Amino acid sequence: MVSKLLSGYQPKIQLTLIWLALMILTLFSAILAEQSVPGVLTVVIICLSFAIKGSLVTERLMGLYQAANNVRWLMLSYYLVLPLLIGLAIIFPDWVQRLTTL
Amino acid sequence: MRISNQLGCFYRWGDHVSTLNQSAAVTALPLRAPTESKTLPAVDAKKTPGNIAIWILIFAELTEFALFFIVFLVARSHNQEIFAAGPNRLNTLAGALNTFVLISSSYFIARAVSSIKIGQREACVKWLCLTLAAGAGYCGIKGWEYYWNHSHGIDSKTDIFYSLYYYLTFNHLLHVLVGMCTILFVAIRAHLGSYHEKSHEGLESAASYWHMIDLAWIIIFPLLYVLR
Repeated sequence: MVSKLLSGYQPKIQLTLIWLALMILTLFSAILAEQSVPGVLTVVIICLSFAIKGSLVTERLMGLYQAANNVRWLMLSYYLVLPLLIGLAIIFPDWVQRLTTL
Repeated sequence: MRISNQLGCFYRWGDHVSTLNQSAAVTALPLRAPTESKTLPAVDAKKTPGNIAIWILIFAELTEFALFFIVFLVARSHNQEIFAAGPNRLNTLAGALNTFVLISSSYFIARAVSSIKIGQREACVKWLCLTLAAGAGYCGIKGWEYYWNHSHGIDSKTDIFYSLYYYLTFNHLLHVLVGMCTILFVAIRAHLGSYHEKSHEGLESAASYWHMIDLAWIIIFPLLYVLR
């Protein structure tokens, strides 16, 4: 989807647009941090936000969107698995506690 | 083909897994002893940036960070009140500024790689210098943040949240310093004309390592400063 959106632009414009998107997402996270709003929805939004940021850096700034599949998917899976893991551990801490109590 | 030539075997890391019997064309290649190879094999000669060594290092580093994150989450589940209160005392502005700086540095180095690909060596060196400046900015902000913590009575022994905060952020800071040394090295080589549009694998490897540092921070920032 990102490739389609950026296809009409020169590489340097594409990089600048990705950088702007990343800055906006960071600003959004910082505002959420300052608001200190607890809740499941906030956790989901934050995890989604850093999953998108990680994918954008991996795909566009690192240039893995045209890389060998195994490298690309290993990197992308990092930003699918970790946000999910972190989100679940924050939302259900008691489960993690039970799982990790000897 | 290039990899086969360099290694004198039929190994290819990527989405083209070759075997000895797979292709007559490949088996027809002249074999050379591994000692003849002068450079590390590229991951994929046409597409994937950098070489195999840097990708092994990147995956090793990301695994290390993933283990830290898991330790943090397990500790959090056992000390929920401490970890819920911890981020409230941290300097969110410093965390956010460092995120802006690191994302910008990733952009700068991507522009450096983009410049060398079209033969603009001077522009490449300029973007590499900006990356170094951003790295220095990160270190400066981190120093200010640690000083700010100290003046607010926060140190690594305050509680388990801050122990893990210092462990994660200082470890990341060390990676930034190593990354800066690497960028300085490739900037000097770029200035000396070692890279050009058809040969810039070393620059791509350094850039990939720097992006990995940014990727780790992208998780550290919400984990420490945002999620409560």
